[in-house]
Amino acid sequence: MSDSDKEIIQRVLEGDVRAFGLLVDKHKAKAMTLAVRILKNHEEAEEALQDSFIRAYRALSSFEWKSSFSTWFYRIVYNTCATAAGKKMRVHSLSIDVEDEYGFRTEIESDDLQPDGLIESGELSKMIDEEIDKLPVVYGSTFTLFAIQEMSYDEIVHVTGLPLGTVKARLFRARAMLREAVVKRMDHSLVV
Amino acid sequence: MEHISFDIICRLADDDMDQSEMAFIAAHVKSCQSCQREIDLQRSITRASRQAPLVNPSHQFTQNVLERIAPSQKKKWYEWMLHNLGNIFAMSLVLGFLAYVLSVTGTAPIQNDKTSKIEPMLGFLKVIQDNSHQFGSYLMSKFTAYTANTSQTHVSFFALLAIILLVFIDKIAGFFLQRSRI
Repeated sequence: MSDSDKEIIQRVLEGDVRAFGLLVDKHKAKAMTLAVRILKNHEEAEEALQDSFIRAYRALSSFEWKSSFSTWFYRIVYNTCATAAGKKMRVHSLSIDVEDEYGFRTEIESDDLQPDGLIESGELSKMIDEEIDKLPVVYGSTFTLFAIQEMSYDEIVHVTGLPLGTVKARLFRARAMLREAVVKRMDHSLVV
Repeated sequence: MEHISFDIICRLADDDMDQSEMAFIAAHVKSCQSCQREIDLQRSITRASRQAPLVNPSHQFTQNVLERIAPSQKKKWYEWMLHNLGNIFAMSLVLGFLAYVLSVTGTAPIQNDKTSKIEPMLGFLKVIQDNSHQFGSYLMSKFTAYTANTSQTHVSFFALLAIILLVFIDKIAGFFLQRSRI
């Protein structure tokens, strides 16, 4: 049975530095997915993630369990990646709202949806994964926190430091874009 | 029939809706296949995204992080040399001393056979290994006796002092190195 984050952190704080490796192993894949979604580059994401783990280790003694370790840690990952993205002069700022976030509306054309059987096909996960990668960083990163890290809106607010309304708007926009992409690909696959 | 808005569908898919709102919308969703399909699609997207493969960092990632946190105590070559300086000097001196004695006794008038010349030296080395406290007196007695009739006594005595001194240096250096690590 694997140790809980709390037990591992206790061991690390008692001087067992190697125990920190267990925390790294436990969180690295999900955190790496988030880092890649923000930085869009595997090497840069890995470097940023290493820095995040080092920062987390150094700040571990000041962690007060006001949130879960993962929420606290993803905030570090998010900020580290945002800084790295900023350094590279990436246009898609992670903290500034995009102009049309609140104004965005989508008219549903539900008739274009395919039967449930197609939606549930095993290809969908792969398709969604590819489409999340194509989303602009602001939406892709927020949706990753929601879907892959399985965070609640409040946790995303804590991680990103964004207002709740902005988080919801970004998720809403990400969903709309994904829906559009999925429907388009399904149409295409039916035609082919 | 007017369909429910996309933001409400998203909130339904995310279970971000209280009971009173839910009851109001449920009636419409029940009778509208189009909206039901839209909600199903959004839920499928969430489910599928949670099943999507994660991106793994390199195999050495955890090791690299730990290495940055607590670098392993790999000694550099000069640290190793410094740590073993006393031993290296002592070994060099013993070997040099042996070579010197052999060369001196090789040219000096030979009183005994070869075996009797080598035996004190083997004993000397053995005593260094076994008991550092006794080796001084042993060496002195053996060596003084061995070289009593030669003109090399003073040379042997200084060589012995040098060895003892080096052993001391080694011990002191080892002590300080150990303290500096703590």
